[in-house]
Amino acid sequence: MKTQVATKDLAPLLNKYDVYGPRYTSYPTALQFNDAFGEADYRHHAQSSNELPVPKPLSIYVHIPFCKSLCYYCGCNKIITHKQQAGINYLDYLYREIEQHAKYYADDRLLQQIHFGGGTPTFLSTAQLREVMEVIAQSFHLGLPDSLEIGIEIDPRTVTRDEMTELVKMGFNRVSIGVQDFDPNVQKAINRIQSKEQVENVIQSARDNQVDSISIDIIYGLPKQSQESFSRTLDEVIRILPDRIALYNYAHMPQRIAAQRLIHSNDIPSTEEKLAIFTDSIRRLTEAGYIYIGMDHFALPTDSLAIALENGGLQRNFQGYSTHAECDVIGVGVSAISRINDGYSQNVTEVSKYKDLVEKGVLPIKKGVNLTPDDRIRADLIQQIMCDGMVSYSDFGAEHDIFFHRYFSEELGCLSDLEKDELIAISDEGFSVTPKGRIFLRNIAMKFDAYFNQTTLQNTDQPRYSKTL
Amino acid sequence: MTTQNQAVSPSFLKCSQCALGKLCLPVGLDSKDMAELESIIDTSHPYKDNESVYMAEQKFDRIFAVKSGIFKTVVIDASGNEHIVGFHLPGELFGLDAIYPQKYISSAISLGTSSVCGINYNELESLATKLPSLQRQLFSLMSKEVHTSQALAVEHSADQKLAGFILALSNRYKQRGYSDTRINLMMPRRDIANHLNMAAETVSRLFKRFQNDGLLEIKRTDLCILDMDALKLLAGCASTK
Repeated sequence: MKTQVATKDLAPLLNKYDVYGPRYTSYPTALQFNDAFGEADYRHHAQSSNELPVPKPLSIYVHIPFCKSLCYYCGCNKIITHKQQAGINYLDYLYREIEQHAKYYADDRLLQQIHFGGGTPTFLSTAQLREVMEVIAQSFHLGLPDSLEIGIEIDPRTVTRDEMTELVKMGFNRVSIGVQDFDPNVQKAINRIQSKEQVENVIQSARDNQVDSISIDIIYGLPKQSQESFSRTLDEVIRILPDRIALYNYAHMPQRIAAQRLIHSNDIPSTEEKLAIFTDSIRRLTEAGYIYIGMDHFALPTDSLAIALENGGLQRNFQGYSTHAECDVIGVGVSAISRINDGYSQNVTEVSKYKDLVEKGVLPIKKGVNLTPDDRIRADLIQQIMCDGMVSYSDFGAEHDIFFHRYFSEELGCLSDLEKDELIAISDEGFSVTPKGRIFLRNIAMKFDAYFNQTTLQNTDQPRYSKTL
Repeated sequence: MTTQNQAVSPSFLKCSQCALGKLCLPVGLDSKDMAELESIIDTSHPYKDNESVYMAEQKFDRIFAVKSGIFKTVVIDASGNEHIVGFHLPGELFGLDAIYPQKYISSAISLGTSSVCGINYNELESLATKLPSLQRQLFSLMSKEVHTSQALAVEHSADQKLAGFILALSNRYKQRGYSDTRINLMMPRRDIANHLNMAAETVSRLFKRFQNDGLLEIKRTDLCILDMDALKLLAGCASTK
C-alpha cells in the first residue's frame, strides 16, 4: 500500500473534516470509563486473560508524571518540580503497584514491551530508571531480547550524551525525542528552549549505540509558527532523518488546559496557516521518503512500522501504533491506562490519592469499563480501519459471527460522504481507506463509534476531544 | 457461518421445538410420545458461570441434557485433587454414571452461562419401557458416554492428547450441525489442562506449536482448524469419537 498523497486538493477536505474526535488509542475511549469499575473487575479480566488457550504477552506502561519545567502547550497529566526527592517518593509506591499487578498474572505471561511515558520519564536519573527496570524484571518474566521492545520518551534537555549511552546499554531500544519545533521564537512561546545540539547529541549517542528505532515528535499549530518557520524545522528533521516522525496537532483549549492560558491567542497561527503547515509537512516528509502510517505518524520504508503497514501487521494501542502482536497492557503510575482482556481501567491522577491507595494495598484504579460484545466488535473494526485500512464484510462477519450488512446497516448508510470525497473506496466485498483517506482515519472510524455523537460534541464550548486534524 | 456458542436453545423451549431434538433423547419419537417425554422434563433457569447443577455424593434423581453452553463434571480423588472427567456440549447427557450407585459420583458445574433440561430418571425408565425408540436412544447415548471415557483412559503423549481433544470436540460439534473447523474453546485453559492431565502452560505451549506448524489458528477463544489431516495424523490412535 503506497501512501503518497497529492496535497494540493487537501485543504477543503481538511476544513470539512476538522471536527473534534477521539484518537482511538482505545475503543471505547476513556470518556466511557466509569467509577464503578474497580480492582475486582481488574482481577476478573486478569484471570480471564490467563485462562485463554494462548494468553497474550504482556506489556507495561510506566507513567512518570514529573517535569522540571512547564511546556505551555502540554495537556498531559504532570507535576512541575525541581525536587528530585519527589521522584524518589513516587518510585516507592510505583514499585508496590508493579508488584501488585504482577501477582495476578500466570508464570508463562512473558513481558514483551516496556514503555516509559510522562510527564518526563527522563526526569528520573539513569540510576533511578535502572532501578525501575530491575523491579519490573524481578516482578515479571521478560521475553527474549530479540522480541523485547523497551521504549522511552526523551526530553533532550534532561539527558546528556553519556546518559543516553547508558540508557541504550540498559536495554532501551526505542527512543522518541521530544523536539516539537526547532525555531527559537516558537520555543520561547511554548517555554521549551532546547538547542539543536542537545537534540543531535542524544540522537547521535543513540545511533552510536545501535538503538533500533529513533522517533522525533514535532507539533504543528504552535504559537509563533508559520509555514515558513516550520519549513526550516522540517529541513532539520529531514536532515536528521529519524526512523519515525510523529507530527502532532496542537489543540489550543485554554478553557480546559490551564498551562495553555500562558500562550497568547494572537500568536496561534490562523486556521489557513495551520492547514498550510500541515499539508506542507505531509508533502515534504513524503518527498523525503517517509511513508504516512496514519494518525500523525510517518516512518521510513525500512522501519518496522512501514513494513508492518505494507504486510498487514500493524497494531494500535495506547501508545499509538505498534508492530507487536496484541498484548495485554498493564499501566502503572498516576493516570496510567491498563487494557487487560475485555477491561480497560485508568489509575487516579493525583499523586496523593495514588499513594494512599497503594499504601492500603489496593490497585489505585479510578475508573474503567467492561467491554460489551458490541464494544469488542466495534473495537476490532476500528482497529482494522486504523491499521489495515481495509475491511472485508464477509471475513469480518465470519470472524465475529455477524452479518456485516445487517449489523452495521445504519453505519454503512452514512459512508457516502467519505466515498464521494474519495477517503474510502466501497465495493460489494468491503471498503478500503484510500491514501488520502489515511489522513482522515479518525473521521472514518468515528462512523462506527456507537458512543460518538458528532452534533453534541461539535457544539460544546469545552470540547472533550481534540480536533481530528 | 454459525459457531456453537451462538446457536442457543432458549430454556423455555419444549423438546418438540428444540433444535437439539435430533441428537438428544427425542430421536424417533412421534408427537404424542414427545408430549409424554416433555411432561417428565423440567427446564431450569440458566446457570451462571461456575454454578453447580449437582454435587458429588448427592442423591441421584435426574439425568441432565445440556440445552446451551457447556458443563464440566468434576470428581475429587482420594488425595483431594479435582479432576475434570468430561465437558458436556449441547445435546449431550450427563449424570448417567449416577444410575448404578444411585448417587452422583461427580459434581456438574457450568462454564459460562449455560442451561440444562433435567429428566427424572424413574419416570424416564418407565416411559422408556413403553416407548422402544426412546429406549433405543437412551441406550445409544449411554454407550457413547462409556466409549468416550474408555478412550480417554489410554496413555498418550501430551501433543497427541491435545490433538485428540480438539478432534473430539470438532466431531461432537459436527454431529450437532455446527462447523467442525471452528470451535469456541469456552473452557478456561486450566480446565483443559486438568482434563488432559497436563500443566496449563503446556496446553498453551502446544497450542502455539500447533499454530506455528500451521495445524490451527487461535484468536482469543476462537479455534480454527487449518489442517484436519495433519491434526488427525498427530492424534494417531487418540480418541476422535
